[in-house]
Amino acid sequence: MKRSIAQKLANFRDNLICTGIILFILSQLSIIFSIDFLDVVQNTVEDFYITDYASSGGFPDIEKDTNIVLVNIGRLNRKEIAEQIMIINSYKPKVIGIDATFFKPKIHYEYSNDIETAPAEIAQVTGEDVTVIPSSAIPQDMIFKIDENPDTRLLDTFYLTAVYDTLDFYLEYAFLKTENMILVNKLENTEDKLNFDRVSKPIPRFLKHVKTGFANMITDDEQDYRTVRYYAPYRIAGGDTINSFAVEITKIVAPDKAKRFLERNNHKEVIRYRRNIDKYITLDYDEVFSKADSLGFLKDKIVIICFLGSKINTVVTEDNFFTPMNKSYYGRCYPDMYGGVIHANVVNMILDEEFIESMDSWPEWVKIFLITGSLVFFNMLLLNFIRIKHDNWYEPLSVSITFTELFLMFFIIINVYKYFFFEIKLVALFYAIILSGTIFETYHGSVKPIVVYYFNKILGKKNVPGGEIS
Amino acid sequence: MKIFRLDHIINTVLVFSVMLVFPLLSGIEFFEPIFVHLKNFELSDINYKEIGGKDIGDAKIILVKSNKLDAMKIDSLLLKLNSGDNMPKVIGIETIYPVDSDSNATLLFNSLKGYNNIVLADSLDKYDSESGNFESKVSFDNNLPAVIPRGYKNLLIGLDKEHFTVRDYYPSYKYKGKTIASFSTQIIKKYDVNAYNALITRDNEIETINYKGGSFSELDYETIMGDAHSVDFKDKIVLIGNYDQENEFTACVLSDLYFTPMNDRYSGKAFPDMYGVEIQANIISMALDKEYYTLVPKVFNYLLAVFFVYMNMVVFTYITVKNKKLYELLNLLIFVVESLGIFYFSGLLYFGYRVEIDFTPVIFAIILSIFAFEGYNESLKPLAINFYYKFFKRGSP
Repeated sequence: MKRSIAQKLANFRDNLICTGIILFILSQLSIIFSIDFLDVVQNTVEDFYITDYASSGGFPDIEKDTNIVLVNIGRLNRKEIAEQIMIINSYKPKVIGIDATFFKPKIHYEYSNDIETAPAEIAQVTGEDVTVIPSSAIPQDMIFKIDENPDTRLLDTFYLTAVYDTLDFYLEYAFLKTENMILVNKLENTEDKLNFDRVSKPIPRFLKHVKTGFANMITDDEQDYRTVRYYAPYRIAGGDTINSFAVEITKIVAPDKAKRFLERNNHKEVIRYRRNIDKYITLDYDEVFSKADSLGFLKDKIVIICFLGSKINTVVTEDNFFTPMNKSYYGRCYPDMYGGVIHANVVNMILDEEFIESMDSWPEWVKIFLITGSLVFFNMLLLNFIRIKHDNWYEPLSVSITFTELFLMFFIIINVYKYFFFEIKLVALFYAIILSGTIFETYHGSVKPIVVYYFNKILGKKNVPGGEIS
Repeated sequence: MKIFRLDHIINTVLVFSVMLVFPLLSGIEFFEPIFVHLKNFELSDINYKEIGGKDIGDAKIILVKSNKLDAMKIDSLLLKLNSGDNMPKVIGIETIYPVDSDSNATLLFNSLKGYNNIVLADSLDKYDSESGNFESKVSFDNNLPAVIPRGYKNLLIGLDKEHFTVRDYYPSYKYKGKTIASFSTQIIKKYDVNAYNALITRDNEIETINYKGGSFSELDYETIMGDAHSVDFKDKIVLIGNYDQENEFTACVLSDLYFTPMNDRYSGKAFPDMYGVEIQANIISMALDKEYYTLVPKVFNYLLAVFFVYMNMVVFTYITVKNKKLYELLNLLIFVVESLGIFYFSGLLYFGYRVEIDFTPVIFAIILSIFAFEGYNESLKPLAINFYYKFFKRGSP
């Protein structure tokens, strides 16, 4: 009886040690994967999000959204965009959002190094498609500039002689005439992905007439070619809270829903993708002009003007992202969704108030020590039981357990995501299942016998041959 | 240490039996992308960009963008290129201007007959995966005079460009019962007969591409047509094809692009990185410099895998017999050392000696050898012996 209890305690101790070893390895994964050779393993696993399988290939049966209209901005210049906006606005949509940056003025300055042309006598050129800029509006630092003359190697002074404002004038006018216009800004420089140093905004003359929201996408490692799975509802920049582009759009269309979305107070939300470009009403840039008289369906719609390729059917790399709706949930593939369509999905998600909850914000100790640790300890109990009671069956059973657990893990994660809209995020669990058998065998087969052997040797005790398992 | 034992042979057979069964999983929808990934992945990709990716281009080859150029402009471009003493030795037109779909193409077609340095590209179409043949061909005109050489420009035959990397190409291919040359082969033939003969003598169905990167000289229509241009085309190869990238931040049309081993990311999601015409330039440059890869037959890869598995069995048995306590630690160590060794030697052979050996079966076999050894010795064999004694000898071993 006493021996049995001692044996059980020894087994319990071994199981704890094995669990501890695995948890220690899991806590050091980032260091282990920093080894060049193992980078390939990390790269392979990092790209593998099992929840993507649930959305892969999209949802062919879902109905087309009729609330949002996507308009391709193509390669239009600012004047043409202004004309596009004027046409769209004439049909009174609820809101127009433009997912394009207007951070720099499109004003062309001309300089002369003719010293006779004094700054006070700046010649302002007028002509077709040229707007005169009042002298007072010209920034002081633009009036003259000093450059090195490459021929003489001397510094030359250049005086501003002409200012061409051919494009921004029209756009400013279009913004002025549009009741609800949202532009994008861009958050710059962050260390914690929540607080940003500054925000790049549209030029002041546009800002007077519009609202803005940031359009930054959350990707796994801030690289354009990573998959966009999450969305930032708000961020802090320079001490101010700034809402995202989609939130600003929904604030106009459905302020209560936008408020409830923000009240969830999640730093990042899992995007509930439902539709790609084929499930939205789209207008190519030239269609806005060619069908200018028959766009009545735009009334009371959310219009998002964004880049959808140089033509809608020409798929290009610019502003194109990988999403979980990609046909291929793993490995090489083409990007599948333009940034503007991602924003449209987020707007849909906020309006439908159908969110995906995530364990991403759960404390690490719960995910690694409680959940993963429990499973590892259970595995150790199970493997120990098999080893003691059914030694001959150990090898096939341990491999079967590993595959069964992996299968169950994938099955549960995919289905909980698909049917219960909850994202289980336990990368450590995957490694834990893989490592369980190996660590168990290494501990019982080598580490423990070797330690016991030398321990007995030091204490002068007699070693028993074999005895891998106590 | 006993080298030849029945147990080693059984274990080795066990490993390869599992490897034979493994691909059956690819039929399950869930595993499909994983198998595509495994099929596409090669060890050499990991270091290709750093070690193999020379990105040096080739001064003999000049790329000319054909984007947004109609057949008429191509006609005037050819006229300009072929005027004076500065004319290129070969002009390859990778963009296809079918005569029946473009009225200007007829004009170009007629002009082409007047030049003797032109090579045109066709595109083999409608691939039948069962027979491995193409059913049709997209070309300028099927009635082109024989004096104008033409070759197919297809790069990935039977593989989807959205998922697969262009590592190799077919110098020639069967089409409607005849063997036809590729676009690059035709250019090589016209430019340098010795290089062409070297390629033909190799008699390889597939050649691995020795990439020199994307740093080839590029010119656009306006530059060449402008009076001020001073590019020396003499004895050069000019390749005219879709090759449009305004700058690194602007759009590339995905349908024109391919994945190559030069990609910044060696696996997983990434943007395709090279235009078809750039890949043709890499192939031509490799052939002209005769810098080919030596392809080791697949059977050698499997023989190597058999060797590694068998030797592992011998070593594992030796360790178990000598000191079982060390087995678990040493098998992990052996796996790590073997993997690192293969990783190193595959890189050395591939990048140092241009010898391509596919070590993927070896890696898989090594991983499986550990499980097979333990599974066989700890479970399968004792259970089989017990079973034998229980039912045939009516006793215990």
